[in-house]
Amino acid sequence: MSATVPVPSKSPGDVLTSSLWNTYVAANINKLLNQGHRVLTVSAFNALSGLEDGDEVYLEVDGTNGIQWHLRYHLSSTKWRVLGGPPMYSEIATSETTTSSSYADLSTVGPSLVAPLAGVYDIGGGAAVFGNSTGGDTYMAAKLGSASTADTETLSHGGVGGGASGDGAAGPMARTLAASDTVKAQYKAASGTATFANRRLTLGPRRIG
Amino acid sequence: MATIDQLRDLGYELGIAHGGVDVEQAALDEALQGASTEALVRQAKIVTAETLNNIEQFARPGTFPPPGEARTALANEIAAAALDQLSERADAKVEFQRRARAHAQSVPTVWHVSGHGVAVYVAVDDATGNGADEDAQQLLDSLATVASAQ
Repeated sequence: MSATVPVPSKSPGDVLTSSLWNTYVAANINKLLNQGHRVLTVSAFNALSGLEDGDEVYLEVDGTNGIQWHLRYHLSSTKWRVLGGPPMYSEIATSETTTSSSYADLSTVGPSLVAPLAGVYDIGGGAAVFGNSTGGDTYMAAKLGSASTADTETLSHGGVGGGASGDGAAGPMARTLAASDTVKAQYKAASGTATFANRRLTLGPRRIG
Repeated sequence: MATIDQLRDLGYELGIAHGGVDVEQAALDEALQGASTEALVRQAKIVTAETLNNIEQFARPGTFPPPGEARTALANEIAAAALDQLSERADAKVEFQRRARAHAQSVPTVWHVSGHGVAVYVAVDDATGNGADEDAQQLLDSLATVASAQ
């Protein structure tokens, strides 16, 4: 994270000493070695030490899809503030059903994401909820790590009965996750059969550390 | 219990999202290469030439040594200082990459799995290829079942 050391302004007449040219040596090494932005893998990010206030990195959270988060270190809180970057995204298109009255997986488990680091994340998602054959409420909610899925983590709620369609997206929620916590969607129907299609889940950083 | 490799055989596209050991090992190998004498000398030559240019530009007229013994002595002195600093940085980079590799070895690899109408992330135990926890294994099993049924 060392910034390029600016070459001090010198005037003709400066005495040729090692203390003078050592400055040039350091500056030229910086110029040679520090090229471009610093993109870190999650493991390299965890190897950082000696951080200073305002240090910035690009953290690659998905090397396959090129998802990078731009972060700036805030020394007094020892947290990373988020400057930008897209959320991680997961989707299951297939339409599937459940009759479970407690939160459960559908035949295709998910959508599912894994938190790359400990921090506070914006978790969002939803699905096309195709009513409930007996008019009961239907829920899609996020299971956070090893915790049991709860209504407080609702992503999408269908409350329209009689086989009609209903979709009430709850909007993104801010939740604290540990590193490597899996976030996945689970589903339930108060009664009857509920159908979910185009299930989506997003995980974006709010604060890291 | 399905493994990540079985998903590949079933037609899913797989890619590592984060936590892979191989990428950290490659970075460590690169850092070790950068810390080799050959690499350090190559870099020191570049830095020395640049530094001599800087000095020539700003030295008091008549003090910059002309080509010959004195210039060579100055260049050698600068090269030694450059080698010292470059070596220190290269060693620090090697240590940094060793820590990064150790971290990668201590966490599951997170794979991005796509195909058959899904795009999901799953944490996988590197040693077995199974899910890193119960949720991850359930996901792998369900993806295998769905693809097998198609």
